[in-house]
Amino acid sequence: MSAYILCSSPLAEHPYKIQETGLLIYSAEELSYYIYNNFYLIDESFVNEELFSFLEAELELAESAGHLRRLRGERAGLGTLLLAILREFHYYSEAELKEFQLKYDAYRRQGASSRKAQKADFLLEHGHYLSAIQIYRQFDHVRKDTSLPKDFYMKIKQHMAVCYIHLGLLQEAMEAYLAAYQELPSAELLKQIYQFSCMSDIQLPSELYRAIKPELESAWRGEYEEISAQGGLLATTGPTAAMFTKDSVRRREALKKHIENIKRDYRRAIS
Amino acid sequence: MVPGMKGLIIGFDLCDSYTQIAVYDEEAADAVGVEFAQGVDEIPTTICKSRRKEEWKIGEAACEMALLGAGIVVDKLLRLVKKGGHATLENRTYQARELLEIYIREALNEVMERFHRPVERLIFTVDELDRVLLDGLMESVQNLGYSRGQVEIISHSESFLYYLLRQSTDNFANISAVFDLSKEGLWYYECDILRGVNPQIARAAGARLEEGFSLDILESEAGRKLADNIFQACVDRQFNRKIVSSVYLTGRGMKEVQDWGVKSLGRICSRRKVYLESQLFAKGAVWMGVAETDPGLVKYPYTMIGEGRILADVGMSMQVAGINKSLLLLEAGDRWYTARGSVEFILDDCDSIDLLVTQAGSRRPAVKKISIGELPNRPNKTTRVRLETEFTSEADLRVTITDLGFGELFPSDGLVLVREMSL
Repeated sequence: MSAYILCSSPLAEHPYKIQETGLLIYSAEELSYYIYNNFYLIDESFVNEELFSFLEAELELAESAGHLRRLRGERAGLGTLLLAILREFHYYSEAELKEFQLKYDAYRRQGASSRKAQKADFLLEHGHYLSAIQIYRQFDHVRKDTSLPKDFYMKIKQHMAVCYIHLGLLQEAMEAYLAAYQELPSAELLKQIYQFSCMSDIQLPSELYRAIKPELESAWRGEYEEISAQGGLLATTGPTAAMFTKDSVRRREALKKHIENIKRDYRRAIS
Repeated sequence: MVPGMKGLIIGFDLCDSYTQIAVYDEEAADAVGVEFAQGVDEIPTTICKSRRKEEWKIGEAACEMALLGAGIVVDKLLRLVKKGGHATLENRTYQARELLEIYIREALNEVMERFHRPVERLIFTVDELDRVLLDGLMESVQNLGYSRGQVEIISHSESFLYYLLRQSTDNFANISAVFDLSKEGLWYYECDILRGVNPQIARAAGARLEEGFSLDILESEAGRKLADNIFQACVDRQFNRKIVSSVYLTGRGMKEVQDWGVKSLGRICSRRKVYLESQLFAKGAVWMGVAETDPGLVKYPYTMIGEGRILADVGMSMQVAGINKSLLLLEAGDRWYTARGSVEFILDDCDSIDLLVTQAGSRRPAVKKISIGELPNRPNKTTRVRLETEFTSEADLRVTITDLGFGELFPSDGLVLVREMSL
């Protein structure tokens, strides 16, 4: 049903910066949207005094801030706090809040490794490549959990490779791909590695190259050339794909924004 | 002295050809007209600049100065302001608005000198509410140091309402009427009360009558006869099948109506109360000022609908803290030229914005749809808009919709949609 939702307050003059992504928040509705769609990125530190002060001083929502502060003082769990924030600003309907709760509960039931991987995947999807890599790398130093799906660690390396490609670190991307293949070899992954090799001009290790049958190589190369003719592998996959469908002026703007995003992500990752 | 009242409350009837002024007299607890000289209750809206001196005269003194050749005169000031014109006086070009400012300054100085008190509230009343004139007038007065809250501009019909509602209630049991004959022509105003609603609605309307009636016609005997015939025809037409409780005759031309309008008066005075009242509009403006300055002293328990007032409520149905509520943006009875509405909201699955327009006295709102197809496509509930409403005339509403985007998540392109609609 169509409706108009009255904004709970004017836009903030001084926005609130979300530490996980560097995103600036100007209203209670934006905060609600961020929580609802990005809860993978949110941990206990998210609901903090700085956030309450922002609600009070910038959005003039002292009553809401007081309520949330009290709830945190009572040591409510993160899920309860997030739901309380969402309820406070009435941006989502009851049905949407129920859906959120179900998703959130399902997410929390997963093991720590799965949650971590999901967070990194989310960062990758939203263009925060360095931040995603930092999380993927953490799996290098932990003991492998055999209860996880058998392609779990392969996907970690594979996604890491995609992050490297977006950052233009092609040699590192190839190493990540090879590590993924080592974790769990498959024809699909081999095809990806082969096509990446074509794109990056980085030679495949000979033993891997020998594993590709000539007829498969021919088909994969044909496919690669077709994709390449349409604008390149990078342009047709991943979150940047939409940029290449825009006109030249908008493409330039989108690319500029994309680069800004990478810079911001980098600054955040090294800080 | 009215409690809390420190300065003068002035009603300023400002027309293209004449000016009348009235003030609130605390001792008499009444609005009284200002006489500019013995028996002179109006002055021409004329300004004259002394030659080679920065000295200004207004009204009759301006005309005298011009006749003596001691200054350069400018008249029809309001018309000049409406046109955005200017006048060149001794090699200097003055914008019409500047001249109006000087004219008002000089007129107010005269009043303040007479009463030895500053101005607390200033209510202008004009025969036609023209956006350019209203803006120019307001700017002029603000340049003179008066704040926006001290000044109000109302129409003659509204002045009449404020004047009438201070009279005996018998006078407005049914319709009340005004005939105003001045250099501006013959005007007719009518007021009635809608009693079946709460609060009751007091409404007034006025218009210049079509007959080319001017004061010049009264100069000759034949002209006076013709004037009587014209006036009688106007009375018959306006009063046809109406129950009129009271009639007010005002304006310079009506001062001698007993001499030239015998037949017309016969019609007017039939079974109704008739009053000859000079400075009626200026006095009405004073009452309005008193009501706004001290609502405890003078109460007008009505929704006032007159020229210059909004005829309908304008609102929206909106989710407020999760509950569907009606939100009022503009209220019937507010002055259209100062009324502004603004609200920020988020579109939830909408392809249009629906305004709810409820005519005064009605309970059922009409829906005015505003298409918003030009707004960028974004996920649902990620478009915040600011909707601003203002009237460009009494019945014409301008709606401005500004796309505010959704922060950094979905930035705005700065799109602004302007829609105009007639109510």
